[in-house]
Amino acid sequence: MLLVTPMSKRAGPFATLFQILVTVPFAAAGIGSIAQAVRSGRLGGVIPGALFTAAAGWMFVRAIRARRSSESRSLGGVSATIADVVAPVVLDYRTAAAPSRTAAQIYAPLLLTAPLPRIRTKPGLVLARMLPPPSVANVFGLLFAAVFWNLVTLPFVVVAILERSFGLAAFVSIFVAVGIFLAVFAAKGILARAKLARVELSEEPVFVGDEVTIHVEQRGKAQVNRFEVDLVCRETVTFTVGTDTRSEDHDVFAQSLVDAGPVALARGERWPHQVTVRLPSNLPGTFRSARNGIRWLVRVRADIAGWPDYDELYELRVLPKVGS
Amino acid sequence: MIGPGRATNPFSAARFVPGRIPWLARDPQHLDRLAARALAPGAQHQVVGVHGSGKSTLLAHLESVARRHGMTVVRFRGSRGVPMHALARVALRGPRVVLVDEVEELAPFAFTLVRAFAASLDASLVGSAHRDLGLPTLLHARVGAETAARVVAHLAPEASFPGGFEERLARHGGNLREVLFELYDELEAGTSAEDRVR
Amino acid sequence: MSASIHLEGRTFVPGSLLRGRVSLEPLAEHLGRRVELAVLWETEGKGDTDMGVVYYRVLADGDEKAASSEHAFEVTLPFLPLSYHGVLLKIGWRVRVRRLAPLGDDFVHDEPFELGWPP
Repeated sequence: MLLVTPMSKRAGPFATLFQILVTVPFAAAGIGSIAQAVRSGRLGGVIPGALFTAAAGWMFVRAIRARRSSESRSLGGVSATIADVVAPVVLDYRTAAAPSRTAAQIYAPLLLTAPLPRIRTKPGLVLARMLPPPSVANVFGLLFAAVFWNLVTLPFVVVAILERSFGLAAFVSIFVAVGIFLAVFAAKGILARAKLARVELSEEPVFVGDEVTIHVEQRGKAQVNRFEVDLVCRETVTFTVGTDTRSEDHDVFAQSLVDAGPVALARGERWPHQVTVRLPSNLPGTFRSARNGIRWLVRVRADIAGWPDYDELYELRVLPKVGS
Repeated sequence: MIGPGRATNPFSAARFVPGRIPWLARDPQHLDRLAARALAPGAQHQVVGVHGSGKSTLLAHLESVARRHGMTVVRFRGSRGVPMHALARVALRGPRVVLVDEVEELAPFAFTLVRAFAASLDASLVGSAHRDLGLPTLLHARVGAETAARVVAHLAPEASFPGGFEERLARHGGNLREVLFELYDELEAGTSAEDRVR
Repeated sequence: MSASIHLEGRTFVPGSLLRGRVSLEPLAEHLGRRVELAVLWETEGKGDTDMGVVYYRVLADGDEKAASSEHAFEVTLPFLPLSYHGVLLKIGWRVRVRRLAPLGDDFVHDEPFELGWPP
């Protein structure tokens, strides 16, 4: 088979030097701004300075990384460390690792270097590991953007009304309305997260084909109309279509674990659900690369009366059973 | 091996990224003629067409032809801004070619700058866009049913689609990429195309 | 240029040794070109391609003898990712020989293999 595969070219030394030089004014402006802000006691000036300095750092790192070709870049980022860590795992395999060893023990050397998501679990209150709640960064980012948007657009409306330019005021109000809609949407997302369920597992990561116990707990005060928990294995791909980047999902496996409600929970009251499920052995393990992935998810959906509903994904790592 | 899907799918995105498949025009000399016009020193052209009509594919092939002729090429996407370092590198060596994908994503001033840069170095410039940029048109990219059939036959030689591609292209606004994605899904779903490709 | 890649098997278990040979037959004008060997996984399917390289070696770089001879290689395969044939996503393993072309397109020759545990 003969294929012509387009691969990213390695940046030349001239390009790298140019990219590094471009970072210099950013770094200078950032550091200068921070120094000036600290000297004058106006600490608000530190933020733009920090942003410029961070941008310079990011550009510098990008310039250095672009020096490597696609193969050698990947080698440097992954396989150099894999080469180091594979050996002890291989020894374990060949000396017939005891079946009691967990996925976390077997795969420990690979969890940071293999194409897997970084998932920081904590010790659970009921079971061994608690899955991290979904990130709120996006929602807060949206709220921040909406507030910023309104701060920019609202003064125009006020000035237009004061100047009695009601046509202009009506026009700019459309933009303000968009900002308010975004702010309300973000606020609802933040409120919904205040009542998110806690998800714990008997172990994480877990082997494909093994049994895992999942504990999901909804807290009050809440009038829960419906509470659903599913276990999902999902392929996710991202692709570029012209100027757009699109994502698509396909669920390879989905199993309903809990479908309950309605129930009224008093303040501080807990509503626990515990299910033990065997993960089918013919399914793939977790995989994460830059634009593609296989994700194992605990999906929790709650319809709460008088409160924003939520539909959140808690990711866990499911790994192939060694030797099977 | 594990997996609910096919071992391979001829309509995988990687198999038809711009430049991966040959320029499949009816006239085998078509690309050469386009390249002769586009790569003439100082020439500035546009390639206009809808999404998935082959604009980026033509640019990829022009790049390939230019490199084979020893020309120094810089090719970039307008949505990612002007790569000043790459332009600076091009300035050092000639003959030169500047290829810009998605020109309308560039600020008008930036594109004027790129045009002036190319003109000052006698470099050839080709920009792709969805609308007329006011440059001489190298190609009005449009995928017809016949071209679509040639591309599909190249990707999946054993496939046959008796209905042709007219209806599919019309449904996707002439966007061949979307048609290929549709064929991908059909193969994986085991629907109409399943028995046509082995 | 043509290249042939011979592997001692088509299916490998994670952690096992992949052994193979690469024979290069370059055209006379390609003798001075850089030729690279890589063992890598690559995603295919509806998404854009990602890849990870577990073994990388320069077979020839201006050395005419190296550019036209046979090269043996062996690499311990990692535990992840396993080969996968999904609906939207496929993960494939390949041995890849690539001759860089300063002018024109690189020559790339792939030999696929499967990485996975026996059922």
